[in-house]
Amino acid sequence: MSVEHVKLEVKDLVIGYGDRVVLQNLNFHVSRGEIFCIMGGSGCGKSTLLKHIIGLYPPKSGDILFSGRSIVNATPEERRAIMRGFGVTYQGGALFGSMTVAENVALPLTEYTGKSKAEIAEIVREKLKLVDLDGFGSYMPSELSGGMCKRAGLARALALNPDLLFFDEPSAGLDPITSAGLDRLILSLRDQFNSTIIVVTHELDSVFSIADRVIMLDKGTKSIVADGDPRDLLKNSTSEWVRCFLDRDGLKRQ
Amino acid sequence: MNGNTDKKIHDFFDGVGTSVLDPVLFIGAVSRQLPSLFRRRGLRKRELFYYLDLCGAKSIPVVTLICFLMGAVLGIQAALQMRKVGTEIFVVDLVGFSVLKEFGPLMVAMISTGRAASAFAAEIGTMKVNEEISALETLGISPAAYLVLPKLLAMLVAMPLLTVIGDVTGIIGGMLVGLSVNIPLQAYWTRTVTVLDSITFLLGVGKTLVFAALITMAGCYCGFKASCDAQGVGRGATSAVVLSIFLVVVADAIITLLYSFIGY
Ligand SMILES: Nc1ncnc2c1ncn2[C@@H]1O[C@H](COP(=O)(O)OP(=O)(O)OP(=O)(O)O)[C@@H](O)[C@H]1O
Ligand SMILES: [Mg+2]
Repeated sequence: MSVEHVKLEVKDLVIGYGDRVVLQNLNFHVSRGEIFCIMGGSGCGKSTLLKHIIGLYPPKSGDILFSGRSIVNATPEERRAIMRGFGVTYQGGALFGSMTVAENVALPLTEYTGKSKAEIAEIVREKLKLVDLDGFGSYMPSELSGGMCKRAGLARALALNPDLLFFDEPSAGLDPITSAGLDRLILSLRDQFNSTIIVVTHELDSVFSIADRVIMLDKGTKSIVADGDPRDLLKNSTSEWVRCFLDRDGLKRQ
Repeated sequence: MNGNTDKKIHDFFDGVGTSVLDPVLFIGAVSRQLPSLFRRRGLRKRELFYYLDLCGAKSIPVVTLICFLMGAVLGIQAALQMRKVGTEIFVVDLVGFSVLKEFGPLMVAMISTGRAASAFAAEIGTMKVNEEISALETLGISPAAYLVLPKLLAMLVAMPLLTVIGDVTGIIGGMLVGLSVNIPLQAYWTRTVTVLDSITFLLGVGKTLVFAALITMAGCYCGFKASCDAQGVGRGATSAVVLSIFLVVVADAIITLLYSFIGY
C-alpha cells in the first residue's frame, strides 16, 4: 500500500489517564476511504482511544499521524489545523446548549468559511435533512431527545464535509430503523465523498453491514487482539474469544 | 514564544479532561489568544453583549441599592464620631473618599463575584460535563478564545461602569444622612466637589479593571478545573466565589499600597 493511501497511522501508542495505562502497544493504520470499526468490551478503552486519536489528550508515548503529519508533536496552531479536518460525533451529542440546533450546525461554517448567511442557512438545512431533522433547526438542544441530539451532533460534524469522520457509538440509544438509516448514511458518505470513517460500536449488525476492517481491544492484555475484515475474523480467527464476540449475535440471528 | 511553552500551554487544555491544571498555564493560554480579538470575526459580538447584559446591565439595580446603603451607613458612622468634636462637615470627606477609593470598587467586585464568577464556573463546568469543550477543540476552536475572552472583555467594560454608578449612589446615600446632621444638600455637594479630585475617582475606577480580570479568570479557571459531575460543577462554582473574593481582597491591599507610594 502506498503512503498516500494511509490516512491515519498509529505507532506504538500507549494511552491512559494519570498514572494508569488503559491501552498499550497499539499499532494500526487506516486507509483513505476505509470504514474502520473499533470494538471491544465495555470499559476497555474505546472512547479513550478515540479521544487520544483526535488530539484531545496527549498520549503517554508513541505517535499518531494524519496523512503523515504528527498530531502529537504539533504546535497548538498546527494541531487545530489538523483537527479542523475532522468531523467528530460524541457519545452524547455534545451540542452547545446556548445555541439552537441550526446555530450549532452553522458554527463551523461561520468560523471557517466566508459564506453568506443565506448560503450557510442552505447548507444547514441540507445537513439537517441528511440526519432526518428537517424542521428542528430552531429548537434548543434541551428540547430534543437523546437520539436527536446525537443526530444533530452528526449534522454539525458533517458541516464542513470533512474527509475524516469519527463516531463514538453512533447507534447506541437509537431505534433499529434509525440506526439502520445511520449505517446507510455512513456508507453513502464514504461512497460519495470517499471519506475515511472511524466508528466505535457495539452493534454487530452495523459492524457486518459497514465495516471494511475492525480492530478488537481487550481489557486483559490492554491491547489489540484482532485486526481484519469482520467476516474473515469470524471464520478464521485463532482466538476463541474473538470468534465468540463476533458470533454471539450471529447465533441469535439464526 | 518558544516551542516548549507552546507545548505546555497545549497541555493545559489537554489536562482539562483530567485534574492536573496549572493556573499559570491557564493564564498563558488565555493571554496567547488576546491577539485573536483583532482578527476578522475575532470579537464575538453576540457573546460580548450577552455577558455585558448578564454582568453589567442586570447588576445595576443591586449595585445601586447596595452602594446607596453603604454610603448611608458610612455617613451615619462618620456622623456619630464627628458630632463628638463638632465637625459634622467632615462626614462629606469621609463618605466621599471611602466610597471612591474602597467601597465603590469593592462592593461592585463582591456583587460581580456573586453574579459572574459563579455563573462562569457553572457554565464552563457544565459544558465540560457535556463534552462541549471537547467538541469546541475538535472544531478547531480555542476554548480560551471562545469561552474566556468575551467574558473578560465584558467584565472589563462592565465593572468600571458599575463602579461609576456605585460611586454616585454611595455619595447620594451619604448626602441623605448629611441632611439629618444639618448639612444641606447644597453645602454637601459643594464640599464634595472641592475635596474630591478626579484622580482619586479614576484610580478607584481603574482598580476595578484588575478586579474584573481576576474575577473572570478565577471563575473560568474553576469551571475548567471542575470535575465531570453535578457535584463537581457545584463545587467549582463555590470555589470560584471563594477564590475571587480572596484574590480581590489581596489585590486591593497591594493596589492600595502602590497608590500610597504615589500619594493617593
Ligand atoms: N476521564 C477519565 N479519567 C480517568 N479514567 C477514565 C476516564 N475516562 C475513562 N476512564 C477509564 O478508562 C477506561 C476506559 O474507558 P472508556 O470510556 O474508554 O471505555 P469504553 O471502551 O468507551 O467503554 P463503553 O463501551 O462503556 O463506552 C475505563 O476503565 C475508565 O475507568
Ligand atoms: Mg465509550
